[in-house]
Amino acid sequence: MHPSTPPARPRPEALARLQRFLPVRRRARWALALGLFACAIGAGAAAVEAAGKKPAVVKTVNLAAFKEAMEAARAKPGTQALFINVWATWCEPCREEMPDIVRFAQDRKHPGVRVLLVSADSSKERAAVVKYLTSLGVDFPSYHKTGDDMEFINGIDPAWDGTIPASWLFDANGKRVHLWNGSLTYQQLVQKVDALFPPTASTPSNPTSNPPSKRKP
Amino acid sequence: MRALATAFAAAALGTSGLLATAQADSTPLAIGAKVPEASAKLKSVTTEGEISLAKAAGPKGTLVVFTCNGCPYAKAWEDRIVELSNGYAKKGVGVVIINSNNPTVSKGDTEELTRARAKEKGIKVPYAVDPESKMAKAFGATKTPEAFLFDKAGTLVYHGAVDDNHEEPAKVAKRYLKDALDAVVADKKPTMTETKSIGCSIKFAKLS
Repeated sequence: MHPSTPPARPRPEALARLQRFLPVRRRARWALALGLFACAIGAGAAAVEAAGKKPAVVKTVNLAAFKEAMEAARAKPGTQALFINVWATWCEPCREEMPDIVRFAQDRKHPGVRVLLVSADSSKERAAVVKYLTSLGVDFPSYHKTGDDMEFINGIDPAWDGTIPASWLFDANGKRVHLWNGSLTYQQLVQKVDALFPPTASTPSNPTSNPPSKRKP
Repeated sequence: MRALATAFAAAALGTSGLLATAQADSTPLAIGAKVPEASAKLKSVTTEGEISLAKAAGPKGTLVVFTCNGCPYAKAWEDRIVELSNGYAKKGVGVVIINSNNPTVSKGDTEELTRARAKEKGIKVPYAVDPESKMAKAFGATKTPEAFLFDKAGTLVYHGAVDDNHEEPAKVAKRYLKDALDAVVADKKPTMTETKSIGCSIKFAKLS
């Protein structure tokens, strides 16, 4: 008499097909499922964050076009000075200081100082430039340079050697009054601006609306 | 594979620099100046033994190029720098490439990673690591890449960029460094003596 073996439990067909397609052990399947779940959460959070922010306006400019932008900013009523910052997405000191610069631009304490950000990223990195500035809530137009580097460097300031980050204060007549050859902090920027361009009762507000940005961890 | 991944990650980090790094406190070397720190002993990751700029000098002149592993500008120009360095070393120009980034500040610029990158790129000339940034300070170098070309008398005759287009080698219109090297090899003065390009700041040691 043959010993009877219990009949095999029939596997659900779909699971059987999956296991033929994906022959992984149970622990690995759980790890995969948890990983996919975490990705979904992350993607959702990013989508929510991105959905809440209007894309930054970034204008591609050569030297001539950027000089026109500088002139237009100078010509605005109440302009005391231009603050210009040249940066790039791949430049860590630039990224360290950028939240402070955006805070300065948006905190309405120095409305007579027009802030012009210029990215020195390559043309291929334009999307990264827009994404980065959007993530910081930059709600004023900024710029992405094209064209010959040396022409641009000397056109902005012959005293600049091309190292970034670099920042300047130019007065309302276009005269350079300060150059930062390296990164700066909010306090350093405010102290220099307060010393050179004290706010006056007649300077109108900048047309910005976002709250002050926070420095990224 | 793990080592490659580690190297890649570290090179990516190498584009970063901590806030409040020391800035170069010396002015750039002026055209007509002599080779600074010519006798300083330097450690090369491509050649045996210690080197110095004086020892590396060639009968036609000396080229010093500051570069690093992670800067996008340095990487964009890297193949051209290697080609010029290896090529003009054969024409009598002594060439020394220097990485003056402090590896604590710029983690992608350790001696080990610099050696690996130099080997990968086929650099045949001396490539010195300068973790205390002494040579950068002596030259007044502030960014990567940055070239200094001295004639056979050890006088600076060219300072600045490799050429006018880091992004697209095929669209280079002005080959500043090559033209200067050709002049030096012909015992002539370069017509363009100083040029500029955008570049990554040299990562000096963090201020204490």
